[in-house]
Amino acid sequence: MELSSNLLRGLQLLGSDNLSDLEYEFLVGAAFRIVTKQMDADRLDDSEPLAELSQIIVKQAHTTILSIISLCVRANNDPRELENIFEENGFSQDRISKFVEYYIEYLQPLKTIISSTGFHFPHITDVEWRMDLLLKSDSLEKENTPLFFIKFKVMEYGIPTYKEFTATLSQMQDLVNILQDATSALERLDLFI
Amino acid sequence: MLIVLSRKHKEDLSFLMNFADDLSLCQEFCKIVVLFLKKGSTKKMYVRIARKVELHPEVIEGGVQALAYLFFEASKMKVRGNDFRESLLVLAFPDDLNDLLLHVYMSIRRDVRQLLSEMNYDLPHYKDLSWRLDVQVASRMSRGEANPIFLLNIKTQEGPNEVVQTLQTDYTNLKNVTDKLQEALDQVKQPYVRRIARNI
Repeated sequence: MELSSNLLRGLQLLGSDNLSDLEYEFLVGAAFRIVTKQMDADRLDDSEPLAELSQIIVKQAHTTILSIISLCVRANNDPRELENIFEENGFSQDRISKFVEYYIEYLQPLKTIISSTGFHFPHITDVEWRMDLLLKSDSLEKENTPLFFIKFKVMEYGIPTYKEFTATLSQMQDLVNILQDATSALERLDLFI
Repeated sequence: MLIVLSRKHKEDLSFLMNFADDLSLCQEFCKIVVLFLKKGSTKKMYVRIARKVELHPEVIEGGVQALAYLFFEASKMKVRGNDFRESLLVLAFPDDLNDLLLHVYMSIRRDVRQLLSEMNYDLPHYKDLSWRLDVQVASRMSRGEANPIFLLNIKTQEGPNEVVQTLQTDYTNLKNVTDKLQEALDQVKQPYVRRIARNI
């Protein structure tokens, strides 16, 4: 895997004696927790285990760890390849195994976060419906036809919005037929879902 | 149910008695009424027939409007054929004129109801749905994944505008939505719903 010179320098720092093992472990753990939103990034500045280190070193180490995480999860690397990267840069076995341990633990949540990052159309997640019987209106009496109210719940970057519309019986039948056609299209393909 | 004609309305319609003898003239008259219902005012036709029967065009216009109003009200209330004919008896028209009017009413009833339903205030309603199945293989943040995604183009009519919105969904959500909407559709066949629709 091709790594940038910045990243290589960062890795050298991470594996070196400038960081004690305890500080290394804390930084790695903190980075994983920050990415999965379990910890606030600001807390890194004034956390006790890192009191001895300068801000610059903390920053560089942190960004290096984040870059490695992002590169590996994006490329779907398994732990072996991760170990290779560290070995090539002279990490101690202890540090390598600590990193890999966190990587395996957090891999699934990271994949989820990464797959939902990116742009997409508003995503339909749910539907609500209601059926009324339309009796009459001011321009037409004796209608006696069913009227459906349909409301799609649409997620747009985490914000729920709604798409609401009505449909007569024939329009509803039309809609349901088309949707069933669409679902069976995927079922016919026999893809792993 | 019978239509009750107001005195003014009866007066306006009574001018039709002038043509009661000539059925072909009445037919032409009804044709004008049908045209009026579909396209609105037809001044040229009024002038033409007014000259033919030696009456003032305004009288003709009043008569056409009265007749159109009769058909409209009957269609709005979905009056049955027999009831419509009975309602005409009060005007004392000859039988063949009554038959002609009934025939015209039955033939335009559906279209008039269609027209009336469009005149009412309209909630945004469904028009069309197109779909497409894609498989996302990679993006900036992810490689080596196969994600089937459905893209849906929903067309709805909101007042005078046709709104098209592109939405996406995955298989699980689509199946859920489809099942729920099928459930909604099946409600129509429920005995409870049938009973209510029958009794109203």
